[in-house]
Amino acid sequence: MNPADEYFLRTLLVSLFVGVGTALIGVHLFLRRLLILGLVMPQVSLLGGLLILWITPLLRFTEKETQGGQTDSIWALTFAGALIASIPIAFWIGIKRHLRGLPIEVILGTVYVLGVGGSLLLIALGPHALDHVPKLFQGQILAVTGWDLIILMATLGIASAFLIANHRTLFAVGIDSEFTLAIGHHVTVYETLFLTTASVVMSVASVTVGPALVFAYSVCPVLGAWFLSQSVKTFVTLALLFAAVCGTGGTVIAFELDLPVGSIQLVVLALGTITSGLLSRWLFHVSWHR
Amino acid sequence: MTNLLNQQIELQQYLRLVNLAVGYHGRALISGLNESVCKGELIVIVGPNGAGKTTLLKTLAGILTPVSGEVVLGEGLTLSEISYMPQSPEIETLVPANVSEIVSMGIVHGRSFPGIIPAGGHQKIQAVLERLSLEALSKKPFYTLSGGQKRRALLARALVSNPRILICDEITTGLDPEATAEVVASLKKLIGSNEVAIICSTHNPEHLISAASKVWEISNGTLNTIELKESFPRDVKTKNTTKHEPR
Repeated sequence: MNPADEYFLRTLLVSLFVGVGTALIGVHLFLRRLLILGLVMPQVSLLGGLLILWITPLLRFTEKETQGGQTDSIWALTFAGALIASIPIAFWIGIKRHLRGLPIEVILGTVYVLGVGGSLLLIALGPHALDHVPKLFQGQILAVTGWDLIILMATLGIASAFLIANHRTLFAVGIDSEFTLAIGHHVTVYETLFLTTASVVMSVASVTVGPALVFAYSVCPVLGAWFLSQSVKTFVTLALLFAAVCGTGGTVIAFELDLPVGSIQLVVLALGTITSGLLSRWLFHVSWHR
Repeated sequence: MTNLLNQQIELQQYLRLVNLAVGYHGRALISGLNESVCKGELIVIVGPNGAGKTTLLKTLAGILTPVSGEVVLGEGLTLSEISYMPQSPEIETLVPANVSEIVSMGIVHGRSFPGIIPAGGHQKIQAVLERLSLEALSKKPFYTLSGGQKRRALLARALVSNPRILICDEITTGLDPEATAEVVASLKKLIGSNEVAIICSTHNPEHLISAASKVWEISNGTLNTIELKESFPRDVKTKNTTKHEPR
């Protein structure tokens, strides 16, 4: 396999795993009226990743840059920092959501602004090791290599398997937590497991494809599927299909036109959502006139 | 209170409230509750807004922790045999779940991992849909239903696991007379089976009073019981009871 084909294959794998894994999280966030978490958590994850790069002596590894624009060590380190930042924040948001006080939007908005502000500040002050981060903001997918690629696929695969295996309980908890509690489910346990899984997926995705694309994958497939769904089963199936098609289509188009993969995927996701909305309106008119 | 766990209570009693006080954050809204709920009973709870009807029902359902006292389950009863129909379900109007999927939420038991529908679950869903005349609506999105249809779907969800205690909060609120009649007819049909105890709060007790055995009237932090029927057998003793711990 020539290096160009290998690079394409790696980017395609990353896009598919990140797209499908994040869309699955997006479905659960939608059912919990927490879709905005898809905007906040990637930003917090990125800030955590930047902070650990800022403080760690392992920065010297930056000399071993790969074709994707970063080193294995840097990717793993950034992922670890992202996890350290995002898991406590997810728990805190989960707790605040169930307590009286400030509306959750106020908390999420504040956390988002802090995440963006902190990230931009660290990039501005950052040493050479942070050079790859602006590429994430520019929409470039950092095609990780070797063990990092295996860690990424394993992490997203395990997280998705957990969500699929427990989908009924997690949906019940997301749709109506009081009823689910009353019939004997351990709502707190399932919510904690979900938030942890969401943090892990958002972290691994954010340090690989950037916060903008993670937000797009958590929102666009969900909205696109929602327009055309009349059951949760169809909703989930369409959302995952939407993410997979946009991930593949966006990667192929970007390589054909020699454009940044992330930017093209963002455009494809947005166009797909709009198309889905128009299609649902057309279907509605057709059924109405019948 | 723990000595009460082993005390003998009557077989027909499904639930017993022992010096129960209910409220939020340690502040009691209603206190001194010593009541029982028996098999085949329909208990109607009435009282003004803010009196604590929902708080009491949520405590009985195990959603809230009692401020003091305890709720004791009858012999052989487990928490999974209590079902709850909320006043305003959290189900977001935008969630594209159909009626069948909403009803199936009631059948996934808490102890199962992963959460799957147990064997025979689909037949149970079908049976409860037929029982409440919802078969034709089973594939319709929940948000497209009328108020009465939604309440019936939620009742089906609460009944699909064949609970022995059904707790319903404001079951007829916001319904027009036709929808109220639909829901009340479903409840009466259930009471007719004589297998389940129903505790139900309402602002319109006149619809339910003919089938009710007791009315619990809540006012100024106290509960007054009005007995309407005396036909419930209370003579057989049991050996074990279970303390009802909030989840």
